[in-house]
Amino acid sequence: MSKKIKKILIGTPIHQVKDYSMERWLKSVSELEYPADFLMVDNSPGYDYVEKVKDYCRKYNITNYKLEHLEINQELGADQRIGRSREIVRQEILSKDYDAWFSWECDQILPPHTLGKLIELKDSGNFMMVSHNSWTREIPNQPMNAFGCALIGREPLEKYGFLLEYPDMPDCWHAGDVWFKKQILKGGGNYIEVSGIIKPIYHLEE
Amino acid sequence: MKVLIGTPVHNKKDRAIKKWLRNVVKLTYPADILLVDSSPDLSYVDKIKGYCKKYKVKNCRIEHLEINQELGVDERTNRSREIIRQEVLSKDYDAWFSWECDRPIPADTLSKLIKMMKKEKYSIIHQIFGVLRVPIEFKISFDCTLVNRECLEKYGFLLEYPGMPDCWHPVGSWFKKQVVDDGGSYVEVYGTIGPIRDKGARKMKVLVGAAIHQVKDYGMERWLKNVSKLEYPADLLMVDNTSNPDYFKKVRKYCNKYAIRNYKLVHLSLDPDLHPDRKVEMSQEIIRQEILTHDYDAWFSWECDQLIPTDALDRLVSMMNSGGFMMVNHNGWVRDNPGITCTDFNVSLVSRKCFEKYSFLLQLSFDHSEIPKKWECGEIWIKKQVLKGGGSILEAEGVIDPIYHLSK
Repeated sequence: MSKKIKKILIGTPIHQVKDYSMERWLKSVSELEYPADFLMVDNSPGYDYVEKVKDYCRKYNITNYKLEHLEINQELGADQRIGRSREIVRQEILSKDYDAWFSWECDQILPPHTLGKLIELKDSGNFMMVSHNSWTREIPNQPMNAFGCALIGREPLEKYGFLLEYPDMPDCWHAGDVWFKKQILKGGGNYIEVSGIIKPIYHLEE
Repeated sequence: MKVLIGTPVHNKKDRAIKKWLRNVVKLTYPADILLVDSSPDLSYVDKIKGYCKKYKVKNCRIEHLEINQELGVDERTNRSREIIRQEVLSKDYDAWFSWECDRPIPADTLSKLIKMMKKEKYSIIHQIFGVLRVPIEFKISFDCTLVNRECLEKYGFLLEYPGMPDCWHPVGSWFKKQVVDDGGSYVEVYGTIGPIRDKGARKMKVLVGAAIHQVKDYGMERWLKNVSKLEYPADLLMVDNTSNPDYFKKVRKYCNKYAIRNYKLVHLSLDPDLHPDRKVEMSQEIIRQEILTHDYDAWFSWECDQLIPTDALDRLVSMMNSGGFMMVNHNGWVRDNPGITCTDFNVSLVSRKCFEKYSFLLQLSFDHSEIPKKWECGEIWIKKQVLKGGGSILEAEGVIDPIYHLSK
């Protein structure tokens, strides 16, 4: 019997500062084997960058995508911009009945089988989330476990969000990601963090 | 039901908050409280803590949201609501009671809303205080509103969500629309919720009463087929105000075709030039007389161009019993424009008590200045009289689904 295809949304906050990698990343998205819808939330200043990204999508024949623009004060910083953009992604997942969110940072180049592999890993233990480690962009020998390549099930997204102002937010790098993981465990859930299963992963610096 | 009272607060509302906290301790339903303060600094949190101590408010937590005050009240309020939403979802609450800190309410309001939500499984119940809002719009201010957990799992309160309307209370409007479009239900309560009728009570005797006219013949046969399949036992009275007497016979043929026996068909001969609204009101007055003289408990007002599920009347009766309402009005949409909500008596259950006091003939009103100059003015007028007289009304959306308003 064939396995039921899961309804997945690739949801990614984007910003013009990552334009150096955007075209290569979209090419990587277009080569993904597992069928998935695609939502980008652009939090750059103004609408110009949206048009540029649309051109890239056209170039790589990406058609089933949505591109939303979040107008936000740039001085609030990257964490705030990303958190608010993720909330828009979360809203899309919850309201459109997606089974999971494939969080894929727009500076990471992944192999085409990545999503299929993440689904396999998640299903293997009925985990709420699978997060695949890569390394810090600036220091390649330092591992990083933010949501750069992660598959997050619908269930924790129904309960927890990504706003930085939630109570008990830790004061650290990737605070929103750390807090989210903590809530999953506090709520009796589970997740796995894996390294080296999906390779190669290129975290682009330039 | 585990309920969180979650309220955004701000030092600008300091004058109201003391009174509100005194109101909180009087609530008859035990609930936890989360206040989210979005004032410019932390000093107001300490002040509220002092009030809580003074008024012996228990189970109350206060969080401070540090936010740029220039972003405006909508941004502050909705970001505070997101913190409340997070608390409801992560701490396994069944519902959020959104209660603005400048809104005094009777002590049993929450317990009544909870009983209604449990009984009828509504997604959102909004208690309205003050004026009748006609027509009902995709607008909700969350000032005294019980929201079930399921809605909060799917929808949030950020102003930047795609599709946010450009209006007052945009997030409220957006939130409500998502819930109803997604198959949820939204009800507004006007007036005081009465006692819940128990299950063993006598079954309500209902008359389905409709004004008909041959201009609606395009839908008549389908409507009568729908009437014949209604599950709740009810008699049928049609008042035909067509000038053409032949139409009367055509309707009889439809009734025969669908084996409808327990019906009355009255022909009302009126001046053909009379305004259609007046014709409808006169027809409705005949229905009213039938209800009063034949001991009916309620009138099921069902327009002859609307197709509804076969259990619709059962739902309306159950809704009326859930809070002793004098009228339950289920909204549909305008026939020619499905984007506009229609609040007239298209699918409504009106209790006998209402008709004992108020009539449809507008010339019987003592004060003509009160008759609104709007569509369905007689119906708005009756609703107003019900509220003025201390009665209560339930306006609902999404509870009976689907409703087809035929236009051809």
